[in-house]
Formats: sequence, structure tokens, C-alpha cells
Amino acid sequence: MTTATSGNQATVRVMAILSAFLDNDSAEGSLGVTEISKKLGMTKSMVHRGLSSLVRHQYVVRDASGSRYELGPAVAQFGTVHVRPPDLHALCRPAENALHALTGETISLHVPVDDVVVCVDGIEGRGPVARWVPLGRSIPLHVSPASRAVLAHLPDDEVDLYLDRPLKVFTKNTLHTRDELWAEIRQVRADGFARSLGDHYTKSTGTAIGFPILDVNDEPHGSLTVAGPTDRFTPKVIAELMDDMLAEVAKLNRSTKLHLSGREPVTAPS
Amino acid sequence: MPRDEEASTNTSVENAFAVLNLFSGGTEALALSDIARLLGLPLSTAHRIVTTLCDAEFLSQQHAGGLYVTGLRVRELLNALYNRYPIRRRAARTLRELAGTTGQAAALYVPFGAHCLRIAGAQDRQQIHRPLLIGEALSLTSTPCGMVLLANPGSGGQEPHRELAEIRRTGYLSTTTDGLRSVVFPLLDAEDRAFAVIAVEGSTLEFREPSRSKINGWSGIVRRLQDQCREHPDWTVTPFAGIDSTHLQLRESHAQDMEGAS
Repeated sequence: MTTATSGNQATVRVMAILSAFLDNDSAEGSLGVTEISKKLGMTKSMVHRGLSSLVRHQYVVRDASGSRYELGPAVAQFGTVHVRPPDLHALCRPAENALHALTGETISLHVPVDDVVVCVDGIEGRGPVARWVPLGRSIPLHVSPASRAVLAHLPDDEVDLYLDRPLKVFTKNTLHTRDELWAEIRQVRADGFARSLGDHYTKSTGTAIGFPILDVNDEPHGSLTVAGPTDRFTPKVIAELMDDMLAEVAKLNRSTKLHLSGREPVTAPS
Repeated sequence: MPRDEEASTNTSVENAFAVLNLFSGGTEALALSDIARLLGLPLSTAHRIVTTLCDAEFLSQQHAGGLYVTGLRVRELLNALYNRYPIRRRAARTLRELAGTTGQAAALYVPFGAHCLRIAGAQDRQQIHRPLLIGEALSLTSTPCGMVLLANPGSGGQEPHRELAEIRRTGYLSTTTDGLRSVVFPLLDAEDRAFAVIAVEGSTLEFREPSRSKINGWSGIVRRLQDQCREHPDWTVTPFAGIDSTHLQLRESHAQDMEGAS
């Protein structure tokens, strides 16, 4: 803020109160004064004043109980969003650049096509040894972090549909039973990323982390992977970088959730 | 808070809402000088408000010295508002299937006061693309989507007008207006109230009049979703159906208005 007058501070507070309804995780979809006060570190009287303004303009309305608040209809006045085929490359490129700058390793963008993911873009890592960007390579949905980041974020019924088919085994570490894969899927969902298991190439000297690219319904449109040689992209390095990598991916998904819709479902086995 | 300071605070907040409201109803981009002129504010005051709104991501500037547009936060709020209709998430797959089957656009509309609001859509392989704008408002009384909503008030509702009763009896409405063909299907809850409609839409140049058997097939796709909704009453909630939307500055589409429709 450049000119911090009391009026501006009040405006900032009102906009912060309105924004609180965005990351509202309460089961009812509504917020009470005390919750907002705690969440934003404001006094209850500040929150009351802010809510009064928002209610007057119908950006916020009281819920059926009369004591809590929800987003209001006036929000609908703002603009519209085109439904159009998303340019995934353009949406993801800033995140690819940011992850590359952060890690120095190889970044790849994979998109799901039927029951595989295909590498469609990437940036090669720095240094004398770097993973190549496997443009055009396709991998089944249960193999590698690039795929499992996608598989884990499919709706449960589509995961089951995929697991119904015979799953190819690439190495002794390839997960191929329903129980193994569901355990891994739950882990990926909890972590927000998929990790290397040595399940694709027998003599792999690389390690990778796969992050999902999600739409408004939290369904996957692809994955971004960060991959490097095992002796450089070590578990310690990955752990040190993880919070920053997750922050970059969260920033990307904030954007993709507004732009992406209309994912093609995984096809039934032929 | 001293009275003078409180008055100044209220004025600042009201001015911020006034600036935001300039971007309602489909206004996409404004220069700082336009904002100041439209609100009768000194340029420095307008600049201070706009800077505050940009910091909070409610507005953003296209480039240094450029026009102002709504920011990421506004788009997130819109998205959150549309998501207050649970059917939005549930209908995504049905819309894709319909778009894929018909080769046209498929869109979901929900009641919003005197309007219906397009809150989701999917497009397929149309050669002639009409932009499918999410958030666009249509009149409830003069558009095919609105009429299909009105035609199905539910078992507790008032018996609809004869023309609407015919729409209810048929189970869908197929019309052409202004070069746009629409085939509209209701989504009925357990009380037979239309809580949303799904429309297949396309230019009449490439969306020829569909046969009855095709329409029956599309109706079957919609009905599968409807059957799921009847098992989950919480999916059929319409939070803003009863509001007075006439004073809101919605982005209205008149492309589908039907001549002579009541």
C-alpha cells in the first residue's frame, strides 16, 4: 500500500473480509464474526463494520440462521469468463520457468491422453549432467511421478476404471496391484506430489517429483515434473526445496482453476 | 473512532465499492481518467483507491500506464459464487458428454432472481464458435432456458401458463432465435421442480434441426444426471433463486430473447 490513510486501511480490511470467503473451509460454506476475526487478526468491531458495508452492497448475505454470512449475489455483476480450449502451455510456462530457476533441474509438462500421459513441453536442467526433456514420450497412468500425479487426482470411479485393466510392469518396483496403487494414490493426495519409485526404467540414475495441474473441480489436466540426477537432486535437496516448489505449483493452480474446465475422462479399456 | 475519521473511512470504503461497481455489467477495461470522471473524483483520489484495489488483487493494470481490469481476486470470487450451486461441479461430465455427442456447446443455467445465469459450459468441434460466456445472465421470462425453468415449478408451485405447460409436457424446448439453435432440458428435483437447465446451443448454420430420436438420446444423458440429483437433494440447492436481481448490473445476453414470448 502506498498511501496508508485510515480510509485506505478500512478499504483494505473490507476487501480482506470479502476475500476470507474464498478460502472458507467450513462445512456450511458460511463464516461467523468470531471466525473472521480470528482468521484475519481483526477486532470483532472491525469485522462487524466491514460486514455491514459488504451486506449493504450484497457482496455478502446473512445465511439462513441469520448469525453467519455467505457470499452474496452482487459478486455476479463482475464480468464473465470465456469457455475456450485452454492454452495449457501458456498457463504453465511461468511455473515451469519458476521451478527451473528454483531447482536448476529439468522441468517437464505432461498431459493426459486416453490412459497415458504425454510429455508436451519442458526446460532442460542446468549443469554438466541433466535429464532430457522427453518430448512426445508417453507413459501409462500408473508409472512414474508424471503419471501418478495425474492418476491420483482423478475421481475415484475413473481410478477404479483404470485399475480394472491389466497394468504393465516395467521394473520390480512398478506398482501394479489395486491395493498398492490405492495406497500410493492416497499418499500422493495427502502430499500434493508424486515421487520416484524406480518403477519405470531399471537402470535409472534420475529422480523426479510430479505435481498435478488441477482445474476448478480439482481434476487433473496434466502434471509438472522436476527431474534431476540422483546424486544431485537428492532427498535432502528435495526436502529443502519442497515448500518453495509447492508454493509455485499452488500459484499455478490458482490460475488454472480459473481457466481450465472440460477435462477428457480416462477412456474405458478397449 | 472520532466522527470525522469515521465519516472519512466510510467515504473511502464507499468510493472503493463505487470503483468496483464500474466494472460490473460487462465493462472490461477502464483508464484511471475514466474512473475519476465517471465518479466525479479527483484524479489523485481515484489513483489512491485503484492502487489499494490493485494491492488487494481486486483490480489489475494491464501494463504500466495501461487500462485497469478486474483482478484475480474478483475471478476467484465469481468462481466461488458459482460453486454455491452444487450442481455446477456435478454437471461437468454431463456437459462434456453432451458437447462431445452433439458437436455443439452445452451449458448449465441456474435460476438467479428474475434471471437465469450460465455457470458452466463445454464446447466441442463447432466451426462457428459463439463465445460461451460463463456468468452471462438471461431473462427468465423471454429466453428458452428461462421458460423451461418457469415451466417446471414443481408439485407445490403454481400451474404454469398453457404455453409453459406444453413445454413441461414435452420435456424439452427446441427453438431457434437470431441464428442460434437451443435445445433445452430441465433438471428436475424429487418434487419435479426445475433447479437448473442444460442447453445444447449452436449456430443454425451448422446445428441443423435435430431428429426426435437424437433429442431423446441427449435427454437420456441429462436424465442420468437428474437421477443422481434426485438421490442427493443437497445437489439441487439454488441459493439465489428468490433474490431480486433486477437492481444488479448483470452482464445480460439478449441473443436468445424470443420474440413475442411472455
